[in-house]
This record gives sequence, structure tokens and C-alpha cells, in this order.
Amino acid sequence: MHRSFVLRTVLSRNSRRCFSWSAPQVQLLRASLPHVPAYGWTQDAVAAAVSSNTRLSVAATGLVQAPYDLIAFCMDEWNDQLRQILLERVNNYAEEWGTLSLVDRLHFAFSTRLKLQHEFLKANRWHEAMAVGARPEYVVTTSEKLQTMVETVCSLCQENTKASLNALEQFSLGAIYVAAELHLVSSNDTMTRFEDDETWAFLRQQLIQWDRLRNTTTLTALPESAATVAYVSSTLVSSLTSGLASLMFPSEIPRK
Amino acid sequence: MWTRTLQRIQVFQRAPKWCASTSRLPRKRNLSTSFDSSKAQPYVSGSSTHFGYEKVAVNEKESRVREVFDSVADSYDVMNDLMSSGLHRYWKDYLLQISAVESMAKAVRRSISTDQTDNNPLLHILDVAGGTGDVAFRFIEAANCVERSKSSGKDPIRITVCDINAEMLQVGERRARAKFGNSLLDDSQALQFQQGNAQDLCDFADCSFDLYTIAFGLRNVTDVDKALSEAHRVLKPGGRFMCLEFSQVPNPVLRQIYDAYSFNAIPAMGEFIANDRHSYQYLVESIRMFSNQDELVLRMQQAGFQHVKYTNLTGGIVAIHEGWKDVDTLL
Repeated sequence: MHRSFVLRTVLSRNSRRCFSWSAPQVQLLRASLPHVPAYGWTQDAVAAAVSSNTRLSVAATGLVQAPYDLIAFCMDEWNDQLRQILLERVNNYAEEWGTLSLVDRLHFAFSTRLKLQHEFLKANRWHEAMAVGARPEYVVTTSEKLQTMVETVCSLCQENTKASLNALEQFSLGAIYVAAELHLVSSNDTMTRFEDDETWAFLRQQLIQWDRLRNTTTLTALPESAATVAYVSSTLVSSLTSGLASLMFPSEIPRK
Repeated sequence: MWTRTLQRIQVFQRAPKWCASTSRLPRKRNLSTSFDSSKAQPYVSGSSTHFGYEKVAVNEKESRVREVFDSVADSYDVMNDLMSSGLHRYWKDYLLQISAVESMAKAVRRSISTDQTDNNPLLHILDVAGGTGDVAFRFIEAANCVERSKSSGKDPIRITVCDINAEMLQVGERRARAKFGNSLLDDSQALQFQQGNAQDLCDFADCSFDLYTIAFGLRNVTDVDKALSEAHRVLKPGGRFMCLEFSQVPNPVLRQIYDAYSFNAIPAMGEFIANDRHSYQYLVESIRMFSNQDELVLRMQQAGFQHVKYTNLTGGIVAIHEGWKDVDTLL
């Protein structure tokens, strides 16, 4: 892998990857995700999905490129699902939603988003995805997807009577989310992973502190480029740390 | 005698001259930015076509190309290393990587049942113009066929190397036996060599291959549209076409350097090492006469391939084009 990385960098393969997919690719990616717990974020997972379609040549495996097509698609799907869940809350449970504080809403949004990763966390695969997402060729895309998620959460969770959250406030929320994700990945308690996991209490604590800080301090908005750099840095640091966590907590699922 | 000398001087004066300092190379193909994307002109129209920069009759090109490869067959691999400074290995490795042959082979071997009676291969790869076996050998190793050849019975994975040139195929088969032993070809039959013409793969049935690859061969075909049409025919639904070929360099500075190297150094190397300047002159000229990246995409689409795309390698010196057959209706 190192040799191919060096060669790619030196010889500059100059095709710009664009992470948007056609309908057949979406179908294939969706069919591949259930195989990720067994085979990892690899082309093997895609090949397993293709093999189950008897009408199709196994060569259709190459329609998508693991690992990042799988991971990027996952993130997009979860961002869409989160958006739908939050919209449902805002529209169909407006009264109840209106009584919640900003911290409660953000806690609900972020914990919902984290819980969408349940299957891959349970299979000890998500830390691998985080490590891949931190690679130089993907880190900007990863950060953009995280930024999209935070913007969605902020736009649907903010209180109507108050001003929108500025870039710095959004950046700090992004950092809180990533920290909570790291906490969840590093948690080694397989018996009570989700419902009673300490991560939810950790997340709530961070959000309370964040809310206290924003209410007592005047924060100035960062320029857009600085916010992006901050996201990238935050993602890099946390993903590198999770990469280390992946070494400390190897997967218990046998690899095929 | 003087008349003949005068004629030779006139021919020489008319022929384009190439050197690093004067850029008088004929511009045969527009780059993709100025390409008319509505429809590709037929690759062959009329009774003549190009053989490098020379105009020849259509029915003459095939024999001229065959002569070139008959001449270079024995030194082909050495010359590839010298001309590309070893880069051709990286390009072929990258082709292997994105072909996903390893993953496909694992999936196929996992799916085999103990009472498998069907003799048709479950993964069948066709490597066209692959005479000396460079690409095919990579597939063999990635698909773990050597290990499988130690067991009895036919391998459910087969790679067929097809080339119009018998000399190149003989070199390939000799190398295969030396590298892998005889069981791979004779017992498990995971590797086969078969002579054939990319424009008319009459020995192969419709829908018989999962993957069709052609590395540094498509530009030597007389009618590329016919070759693409045949590739589409022999691929199964969902099958994949991959072409690794020299292409057009978009960056003007890199293009200057590349042209100077191609037209000065490569023919000279051919003369010095293989004692065959003209064949290597043809190889260099044929690159400039071939379709650029976007033109080839259009031709592939016209042949019926879907999701056609290309990846430039090394600044566009080579490109890998890929496309699929009939995935839209099956997925």
C-alpha cells in the first residue's frame, strides 16, 4: 500500500474523483453495505453483493471502488436519513420539539446520527472507515460531509427566535460530534454498547459546556476558509486517534 | 541516378522533421477541449487509413502491423522497460488494481459448490493483443490460479490471451511455462493462448467473457469501431471493457518534452538495441494518430458501452478507459 501511495503521489494520477453515483451504482453500493461487517470496506464486499445477482457478470464489481465509495455513500445515506428524521420531528411533533432546549435537540440529533452507525460499530468496522477517511486524498471530502451533517443539524435544531449559529459555533459542534464518535468507537463495553453507553452522557456534558460558553462569551464568526481548515484539522486529529484505537482494539469478527 | 537522388531529396524535404527545438509535428488530433462531442467520425472511411504518419490502403494496414510485431516480438519486453523507464509496470499494476480481479476471483472461488459440474469458467477474462502475457500473468497471480493448478480438475477461472501475432503468442506461452510450469496451461487450463483478430473474434461466442482487457493494442487495430463492437459482443451482461493505451497529454509543456523524447530517443533506442528503427518509429507515430481520451469515450458509447470513463496516468501519457455492458437494465 505504501509503494502504491508513493507512486500515486509522485506520478500524479490526475483524474479528479467526484463522489456522486448513477442509479446502478447506488443500487450496487446499497447491496454491498450488508456485506461490510463480514468483508470490511473492501472490494470483496462489493463482489459478494454482485455474486448474489445471478443475471449479472461478476465484473460489475468494478462499477464502484472500495473503500471510499462505500464509506462516502454510507455518510451520504446517513446524512439523508438524519435530515428526514429531524424534519419529521420538526413538522409532525412541532409542539413537543418546541419545548426542548437547544442542547436537548442537538443531543437528539447527534445521538441519532451516531446510532445509525450501530451495525458497523458492532462489527468493529467503523474505526477502519474513520482511518480511511483521514487519508490525504479523502480528508477534504470527509470534512465536507461532516460539515453538511452539522449544517443540517444546526438549521433544523436552532431556536426560531434566536439568530443562526455562526461558523465558529458550528465548527465547535463538529468537533464535539467527532469527539463523541471517537468515544463511541473506543468504548470497549460490548454488552451495553448503545442504550447505556457512557458516550451519550459524554455527549450531553460537552453540549452543555458548549451552550454555557456561547451564552457567556461573544464569539466572532470565522472566515469560511478558516472554518474548513478547522474541520479538516479536527477530522484529521480525531481520525488519526481512532486509527490508533483500531490498533488497540482489534476486531473480534473473523476476517474472510 | 541524379533523378533518383533528386526525388529522394524532395521526399525528405516534404516529410515532417522532428527535433526538440522546432515543433513541426503535425497536429493530427485536437485535444479534448476542442473536440466535437456530438458524434465520432467512423474510424475507417474510404479505402485508405493511417499507418503511423504514412497513408496506406485499409487492407494493407493489418499486414504492416503484423510485420512490426513479428520484428519486435523477441525484444518487446526489454524495449518496453527501456522506452517507459519501467513505468509500463506501474501502469499495468494499476490496471490490475482497478480491475478488481482479486476480489472477483475470491468471490467466484467462494461460490463454488462441491458438486460443480458445469465446465464453463465462472470468471472468464479475455486479454486481447496481450501476446507476451504481461497483463495476463498479473491476472493469474491475483486470481491465485497457480495455487489452484496444484489441485486436480479445471480451474473455474480462465484467462485467455488473444493476439493476431503468432510470434508474440509463442513468446507469451514460453514465458508462461517458464514462470508457472505446465500444469497451469495443460491441467487446470487457467491460461490459454489463442490467435485471433480483435476486429473479428469469430472463435468466441456472444456473451462469453466477464472482463475484456486490451493494453497498448487498440491503437494498432485497423478499425477501432469494429474492435469495440466485437468487445461488446463477447462480453456478458454486466461485463467490463478496459483499455490501457497511450493517449494525448493535455499539458503543453509536458507534451513538448514527451514529444521530443518519443520522436528522438525511442527510435534511436530501437535502432541501437533491437536494430529496428522503423518499427519503433511506427509505434511512436501510431500514438499520435490514435483517438484522444474523449474521442475514445465517444466511440465506446457508440459501441454500446455504459458508464464509460477514463483515468489519466502520468499526466495523460497513458489513459485507462473502461465501460460496462448492459448494467443499467440489470441493476
